[in-house]
Amino acid sequence: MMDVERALNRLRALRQQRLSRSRSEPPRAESELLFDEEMLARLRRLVLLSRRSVAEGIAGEHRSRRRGSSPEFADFKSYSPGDDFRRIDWNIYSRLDELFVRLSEVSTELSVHLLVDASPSMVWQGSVDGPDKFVYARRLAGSLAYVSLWHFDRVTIAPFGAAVGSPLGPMQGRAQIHPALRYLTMMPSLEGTDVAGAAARYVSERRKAGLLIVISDLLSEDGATMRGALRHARARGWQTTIVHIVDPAELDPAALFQASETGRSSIELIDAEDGARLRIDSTPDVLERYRAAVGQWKADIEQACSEEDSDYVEMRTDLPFESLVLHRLYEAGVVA
Amino acid sequence: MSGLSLLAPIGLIALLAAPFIIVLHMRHTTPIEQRVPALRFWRSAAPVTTVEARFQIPPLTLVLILQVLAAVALALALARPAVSLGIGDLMSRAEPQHLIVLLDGSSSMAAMDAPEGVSRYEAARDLAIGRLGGLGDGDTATVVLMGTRMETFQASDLPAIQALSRELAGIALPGGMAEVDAALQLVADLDLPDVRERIVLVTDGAIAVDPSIAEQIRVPIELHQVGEPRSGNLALTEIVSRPSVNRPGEQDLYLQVSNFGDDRQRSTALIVADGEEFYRENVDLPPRSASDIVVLGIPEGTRTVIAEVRSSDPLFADNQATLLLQARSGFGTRVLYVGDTLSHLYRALGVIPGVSIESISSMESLQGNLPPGPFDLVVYESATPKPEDFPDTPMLAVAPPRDSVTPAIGVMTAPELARVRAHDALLRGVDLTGLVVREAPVHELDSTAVEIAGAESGPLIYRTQRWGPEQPAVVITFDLEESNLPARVAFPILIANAVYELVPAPVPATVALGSSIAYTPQSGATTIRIIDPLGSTIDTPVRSAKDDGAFEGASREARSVTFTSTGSSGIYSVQELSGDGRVLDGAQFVVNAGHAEESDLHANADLDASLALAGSGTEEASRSLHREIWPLLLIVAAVALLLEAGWALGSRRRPAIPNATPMVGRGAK
Repeated sequence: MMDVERALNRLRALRQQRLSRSRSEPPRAESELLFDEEMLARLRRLVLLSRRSVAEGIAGEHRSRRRGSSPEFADFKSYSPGDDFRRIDWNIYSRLDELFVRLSEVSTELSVHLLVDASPSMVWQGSVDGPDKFVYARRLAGSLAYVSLWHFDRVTIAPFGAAVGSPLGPMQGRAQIHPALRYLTMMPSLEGTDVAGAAARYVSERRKAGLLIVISDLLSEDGATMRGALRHARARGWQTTIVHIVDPAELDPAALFQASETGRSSIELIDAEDGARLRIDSTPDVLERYRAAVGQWKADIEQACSEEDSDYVEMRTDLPFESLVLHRLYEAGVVA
Repeated sequence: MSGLSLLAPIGLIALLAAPFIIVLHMRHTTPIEQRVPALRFWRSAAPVTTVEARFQIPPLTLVLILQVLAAVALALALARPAVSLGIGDLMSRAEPQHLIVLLDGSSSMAAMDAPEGVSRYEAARDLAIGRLGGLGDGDTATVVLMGTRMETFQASDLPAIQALSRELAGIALPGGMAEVDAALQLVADLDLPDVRERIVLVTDGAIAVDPSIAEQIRVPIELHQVGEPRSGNLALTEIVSRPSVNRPGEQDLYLQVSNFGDDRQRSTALIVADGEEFYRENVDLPPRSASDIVVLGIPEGTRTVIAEVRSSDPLFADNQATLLLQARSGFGTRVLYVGDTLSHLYRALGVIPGVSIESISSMESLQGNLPPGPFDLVVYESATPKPEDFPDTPMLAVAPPRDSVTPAIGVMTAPELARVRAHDALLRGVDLTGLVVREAPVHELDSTAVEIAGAESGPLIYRTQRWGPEQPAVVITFDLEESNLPARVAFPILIANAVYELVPAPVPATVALGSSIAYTPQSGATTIRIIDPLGSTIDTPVRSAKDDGAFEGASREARSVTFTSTGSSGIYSVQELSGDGRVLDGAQFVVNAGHAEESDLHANADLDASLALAGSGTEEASRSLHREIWPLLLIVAAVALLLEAGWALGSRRRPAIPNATPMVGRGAK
C-alpha cells in the first residue's frame, strides 16, 4: 500500500508540474511535430550501437567488449601477472594444469554527445513540403536522445554555430526524455558556423571521451577541415558520427532557373549566413558547375570521415522521417 | 510645337503610364532574390558576376517599345491633339488664312534678356517675321505693332507679305505702353470673309488683357512669350523738382528708385548737375520695393539734372532720368494788348505765368501799326479793329465798342447776374456772386456763341467763334472799370482761365515714356520739328483752316499737333517753323524711361487665362482651325497592342527549361 501511495503522490506531483509549465510556456506545437507517439514507440525498440566501448560507469544496458568482473560469464583468458587471483578458474586448472582467468561481461553506460548545428544556413528549406534543415536536425537529435535515454545512456545535447552554445546534460534516465525534447524544441538559432572548430573545442573541453554525433549541413567545412577535426577527436578516444543534413534543393537547385521563364536574366543569391550577395546568370552551365562542385565537396567530406574511422550518414530532408530515417540510421550502424 | 495644340491637356496625365510600363520592365530585369544556405558553390560555379546594379535600364525589346508606344498614343489621344497651321498646312491648304500678329512694342520689350543676347523686341520681331514666312499664296497678313501708338501693317498677297517682312525687320522698338485691349478690339473688327483667322500675340507677357475684350475675339489667340518672365529690374521711376523753401533760387530734387525684382538690390544713385557730379547715395532696396531720395540745394541756374542708378539689369534705359530745370516751356504766350496799359486787365494779364505782353493803343491798332507777330492772343479793351482787320489769332474782347464785335440791340443798366453756365472752364474757381455792373450793352448772340454769364436781358460774358474756329473769342460785354469785378478775387482767375483756354497749350517739361504730346502751335507756325534723343528729325505740318475747308465749323483743336514718338528716353527738342523755314521758337522736353508699369519686367501670370477666353464660345471656329487627330492615335495604339499581343503569344510557345521545378523555399523572395 505504501508503494501505491508513493506512486500516486508522484503522479500528482508530475501532473501539477505539467500544469504549471503549460501556463508559463508557449504552445509546443513544434514539439508535437518533432515527435509523435508512433515514432517514439518505434524508437524504444532501438538501441544505440557502439562499436567501441569507451567508458564505464554505473549500470548501463550496453554490452561491453570490455571483460569485467561481473557474475555473468563471458570468456576465459590465460592468466597473466596482475590479474585478480579471485578470478582464476581453479576447476580448469585442475583439469588442464594451466591458469585461466574467468572473464565476465561488464554492462557499461554510453556517453552520447549530440552536437546540433544551429547556424543560419540550417534555417532553410527548399520546399514548403518538407521541414527546414534545423527542424530536421533537431528531430533527429531528439530521436537519438530518446533512444539513448531510454536505455539509460548519458546524454549531452549542445547547439553550435560559430561556437558551442549552452549544453543540456549530461543527463540520464527516461525521466530526462521530455526535458531533452523540450530543450530541442526551444533550441535557438545561433550566429555563424564552424563545425570543425566547434567539434574540436567540444572534445577538448570534455574529460571523458564518448560517442560524438555531429548533426550539421557541414557547409562551412571541406574535406581537409573535417579531417582535422575528426583526427583531433579520434586522438582523444572519441567515436564520431557525422550526420549530414542535406536539402534536395542544395544538391539540385534547378528551380532557381525557373526565373528565366519570367523574362529575368539573372538571379541574386543571398547567403543565409552573412547576407552576402552574388549575382549569377541563369545559364545551364552554371547549374552544371554547381552540381559538380557540390558533388566533389560531398565526396571529400565522406572520404575524410572514412579515413578517420568516422561514420558518415547523409540525411536528406525529403526522406519520411518515421520510417526511412530510422532505417537509414540502422543501416549506418548508428542505431541497432 | 507650332501648329499642334491640345484641346484637353489634362489627358496628358495618362502619359504616366509610360514610365510605369518601363518600371514594370525594370522589374523583369531586376534579378530575383534567392536566399541560399551558402554561396561557396555558386561562387565556384559562376565566378564572373554580371552588372551589380540592382535596378537596370530595361533592354529595348520590341514588347517594351510597343507597350510604350501604345500608352503614349492613348495618352495623346485623351489630350485631343489638333493640328493647325504648320502640320495642317502639310495635310491640306484648301482654305486661305488671315494671320494677325499682335507685336508688343512696349518699353519693357527693350530688356536684353532674350536668348542669344538680343532684346525682347528683336526676338519678338524675328518670331513675327518667321510666322509671316509661313504664309503662302492666297493668305493675308496683318501686323499690329503696339507701342506709343498702334501701327497697323497689312499685306494681301505673297509679295506684299514678303515686303511686309522686310519692312518689319527695319522697324525699331516704338516703346511706350502696349495698348493690347485696343489692339484686340481692332482685331475683333477685322473679319475677312472666307478665310481662317489666326491671331498670334508676341509679347514679353508684361501686359494686361481685359478678359471681357478677349471674349469678343472669335478665334483662339496663340500666345508667344519672349524674354525671361521673372527678370528683375532697377529703375528711376520718378524725378521732380521744386523751388527750395529755405534757399531762394535753389531747387530741391526728388527721386524714386524702384526695385521690380524678386531679389534684394544694392546700388548707388548718382546726381549730375550740368555735367558735374553733385550727389551720390547708396540705396538698398528689398524685393518689389521703392525708395525716395531727396537732394536739397540744386544751385540756381542749373539747367539739367541727370540722375543715374547703377545696375546691370536687363533694361538699362530706365536706370537714368533727366530733368530740365530751366526749360519748362520754351513757348511763352505772346499777348498783344490793345488798350489802356493802366487798366486792371493789363495788370491781370501780366501776372499770368509765361505770358509776355506787348501793348499798343487803340488808335495805333486802328492805324494798323501792329508790332511784329505772331501773337498767340490779342486782347482788346474798349477797342476793336475793323472787321476786315481782325487778327488770325484768338481774341479776348472786353467792353467792345457797340456793334464792333457783336451786334448790340440795347443797353442794360445795372444788370444783375441772372444766368451762369455751371462747370464751364472759364468759371473754374470763379465766383461771380455779388457782381455789380453799372451798364452793359445787350449783345445779340449768334449760333456759335455760348453764354457764360448773363443778366436778365442779355449776356455779360460769352465765347464765340464768329470769325471761325481758328479765332475763338471770349467777350466780356461790360466795362471792367465800371464794375466791381476787378476788385474781386475772381477777376485774375477769370482772366487766366480765358487766356489758358484761348492760347495754345505749352510743351510740358517732362513726358512719360510713350505718352503722346498734343498742343496747338503758335499761330504763325506752319511746321513743328521735333528732334528726338537719337538725332532723328520729325517734321509735322500744322494745318490751318485755309489749307483745309473741312476745318470750317470745327474747333481749334484741329490745329493741334500730336506727337507720339516718345518711345526713346532722353531730351527732345521742339522747334516751331514758319512758312519760310524760320525758327519761331524752340523748347525742350524730356522723356524718361522709368515707368511704374513698363519697368516691371515680370510677366503677367494671368495673361494665359485671359487670352484663353478668346474663341472659347466659338467651338465651330475652333474646329475650323484645328483638325483633331485622336482617331489616328487610337489606331496607332491598337496596332501596337495587337503586335505586342502577337509577340506575347509567340513567346509562350517557346519551350521552357527542362527539370525546372517551382522554388518555394523559405528563402525565396
